Amino acid sequence: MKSNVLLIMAFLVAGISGCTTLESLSLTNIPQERSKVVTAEREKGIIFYFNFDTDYADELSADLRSQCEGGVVSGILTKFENTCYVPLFCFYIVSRVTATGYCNQ
Amino acid sequence: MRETFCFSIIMSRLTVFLLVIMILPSCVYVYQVQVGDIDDRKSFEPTPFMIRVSETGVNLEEVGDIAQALGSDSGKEGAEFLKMFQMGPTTGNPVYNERYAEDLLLLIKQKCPDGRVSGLTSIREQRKYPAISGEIIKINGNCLRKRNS
Repeated sequence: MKSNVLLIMAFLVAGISGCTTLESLSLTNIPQERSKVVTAEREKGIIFYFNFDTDYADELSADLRSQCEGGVVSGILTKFENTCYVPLFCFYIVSRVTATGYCNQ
Repeated sequence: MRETFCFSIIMSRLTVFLLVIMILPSCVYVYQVQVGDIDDRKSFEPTPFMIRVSETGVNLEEVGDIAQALGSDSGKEGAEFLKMFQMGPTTGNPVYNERYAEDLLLLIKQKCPDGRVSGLTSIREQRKYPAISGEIIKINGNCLRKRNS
C-alpha cells in the first residue's frame, strides 16, 4: 500500500514539475526614458513534438505596439524558452516567448 | 485463424497510417525569436511585410540509418565519416550553402525602399522531414512611409 502511494507520488511529481530550457535571448538599444514598461507574452502547448506552425510568435510585435499607441518601443528584451513536462519523455512542451520593452510617447 | 487475419489487416493499416503521419506533415522547431524596436508614431503609416529564406538541411545520422536499413553498411560508414567534418554549435541540420541568409538585408530593402523599418521580428525555425529538413529564417516587420498630411 505504502509503495503504491509512493509510486503515485513519484508519477505526480514527474508529471507536474517541468524543466525549463532558455533557447534564445536578445536585447535592443535601451532608451534614456524608462518609466513605462510594456510586456507581451505568447505561448503554445505542444504534445510530443507535434508542432506545425510558429504563428504564435508573430503577434508579439503587434501586441507591444498596441500597448504604446503613437509612441516608440525600444530596449526590447526577447526571451524564448521551452518548458518540458514529464521530463523523461518531454510528452508536453510549452514554448513561451516573452518580450519586454520601454514605451516613449 | 480469422482473428489473426483481422489483426494483421488492422496492424498493416495502422502501419500505413503511422507512416503517413510521419511523412506528410512536417514538425516545426523554433530555435530563436527576436523582436526589434517598434516605431508607432502618427507621422508614419505602417505597411506590414514578411520575408522567408530557407535552405535544405541534411541529417546525416538519419541518412546513415536509412542506408543501413536498406542493407548498405558502407552508406552508414560514409555518413559517419562525413559527420566528422561537421562540428561546433549549431541550430538545426547542416546545410550545403552557408550563404543562404546573406540576402536578407537586400530583401528587406526591396520590400521597403524608403528605408524606414519598424517592429522586425525574426524567427529561426526548422521544418523537419525524414532525413532532410527546411532550415528557415522568417522575418516580419512594418515598412514605414511618411504620411502626406
